[in-house]
Amino acid sequence: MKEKIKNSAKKIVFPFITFAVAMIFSGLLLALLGYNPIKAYQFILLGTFKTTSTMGNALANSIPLMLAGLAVSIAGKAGILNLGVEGQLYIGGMLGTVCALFLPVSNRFLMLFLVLAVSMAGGMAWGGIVGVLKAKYGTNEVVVALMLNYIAILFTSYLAASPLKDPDAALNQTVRIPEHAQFRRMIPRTQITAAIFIALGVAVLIWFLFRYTTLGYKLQSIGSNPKAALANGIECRKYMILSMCLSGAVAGLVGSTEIIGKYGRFTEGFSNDIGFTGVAIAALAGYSPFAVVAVSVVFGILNAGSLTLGREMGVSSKMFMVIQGIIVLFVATPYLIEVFAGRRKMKKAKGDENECE
Amino acid sequence: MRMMIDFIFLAVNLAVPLVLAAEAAMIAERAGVICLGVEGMMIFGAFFAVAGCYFTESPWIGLLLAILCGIAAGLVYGLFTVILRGQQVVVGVAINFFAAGITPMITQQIWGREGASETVKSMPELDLSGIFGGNAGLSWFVPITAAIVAGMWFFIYKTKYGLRLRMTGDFPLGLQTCGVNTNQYKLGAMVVCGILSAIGGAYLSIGYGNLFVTDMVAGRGYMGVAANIFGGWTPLGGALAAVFFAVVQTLRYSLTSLNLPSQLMQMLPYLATLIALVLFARNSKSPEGLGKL
Repeated sequence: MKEKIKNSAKKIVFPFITFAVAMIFSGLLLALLGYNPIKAYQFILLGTFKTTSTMGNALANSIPLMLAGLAVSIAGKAGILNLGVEGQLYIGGMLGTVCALFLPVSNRFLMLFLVLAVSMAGGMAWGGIVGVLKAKYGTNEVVVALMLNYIAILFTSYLAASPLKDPDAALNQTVRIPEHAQFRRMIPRTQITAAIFIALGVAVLIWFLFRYTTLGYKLQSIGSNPKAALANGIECRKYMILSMCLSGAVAGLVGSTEIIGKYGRFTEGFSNDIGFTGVAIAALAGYSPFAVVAVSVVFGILNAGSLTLGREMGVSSKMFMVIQGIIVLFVATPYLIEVFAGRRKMKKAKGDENECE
Repeated sequence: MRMMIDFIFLAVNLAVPLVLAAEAAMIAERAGVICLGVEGMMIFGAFFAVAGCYFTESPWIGLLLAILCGIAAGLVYGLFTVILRGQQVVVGVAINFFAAGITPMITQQIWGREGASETVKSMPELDLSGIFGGNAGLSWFVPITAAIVAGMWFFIYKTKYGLRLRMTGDFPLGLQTCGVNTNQYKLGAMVVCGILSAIGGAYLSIGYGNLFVTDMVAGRGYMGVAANIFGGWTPLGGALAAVFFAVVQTLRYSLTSLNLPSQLMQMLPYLATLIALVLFARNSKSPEGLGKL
């Protein structure tokens, strides 16, 4: 019992320490590059909490990050690192846009439902490829997912550049989708839309899935101990594919909610590495859905703040990527954080293999 | 004939970074470390080669700086994976994030813009136009790369240390019982991996081109990792696989007469990598201790 409390306390405290250490390191880097880190962090906070509109936009920024983080954590619970969210969200976004542009549906709710459903199906198929290849041929899911990312991004930008291009636009983008296929702004002068309820709904569903259903239990067991799962008659391969499909479906939602909520059209390169940020968020949140929600709000603030930072101090917005890199690095090496937290005991680390033979 | 020669020269030039990335991934994975950080270390190499070249006006010093940086990156990578026992896949991804983020930041600091550096002097070329005519130039990196592949083969299969390195990846416990420190071999392999990746990146920025551009590595590190798997974790196999990917990349430039959309042509190498992974990866055998500690 005591051990259990200790473990859960560790689970809550560690992400905070990781985040703090990452921010200190990024601050040091900023100082090395000749910026004033304290001033930089001040700008991030002040820029966010200045008005309701900036606060709203930071929150709106966190919606796609939330969904991306949830997508990564579904696969993560089953022991698969889904780096393909970026590609899956482009496929989902493109399919959703095509749906909104060409389906002759005038009912608003039916239209929105169809757009979201089709984009989920697209992401599901694209994520499923990774799962099938890993389960059937044992190919490395990271390399496959990254190759699929490039293919998805290039293919959708081809579609946005030639067959579906808006002839009046300079950028490679489609024409605006009809008004009834778009979310309405819930608070004026912010980008918060109904997408936030979708994100929260998905978080609750995932929590329910892993907490109360056998499917969730099976998915989790192939992640935590594939050999034991196999010995207990859980078909590893099947659930591996399923977890990637579910993860891809949520990733597809990222694309369509961004388009029908924020941009109103598919623009080449609209995502700006949301999928990869999702990896950092899920890793820091330890794949727990509600923690993902909390962490994405923080990341939304950082993301909005890094833009302010660019305007005010000339710091490249890639700063955000650096912070993510440091966070992921520290999350991957729990031993290091234990050293920082003053618990120097060397433990036998678990290998990160997951075989299903 | 002329077209044929141009095609071969372009393919050879495009093969250099992929071959180096494949060799880098090979040595790390033969020592039992899953190595996805090749991409990030290539970005570092590309950046520091240009930085060194910009400040000293000598591409050779740029290359040297890239190599030094590769050693440092390999040591850090090894520290996190081997000594601190981090999850190898995730650490590799983190290094790639970090490299992709920090290099544009420094670029902005030095040159005042985020996307690209100023142009610098690139490495001299071996002038072969006397033999082949036209503008047939080969970078100095080509013979260096060929020598590296040959050296790698000799090291892995013909020396005592190569045997131990292979054993480190396959069955570290067995080697430890013989009184050999396997962590030393893993760390050494990571340093070599860093050096090779950095040279590959440096080739992109000061060999093939003459400036650093964000995203210039464009997944070549991952392609190298795939080529290594495709080539069955062997030095020569990985190099051949990398050359195959390079030929596919070359097609993109020589099929311009077909008038296919550029985005679709850019997709080709990624698609080829994917297909090669699916068709051939299951027949080859990975080092048995890969990813274990």
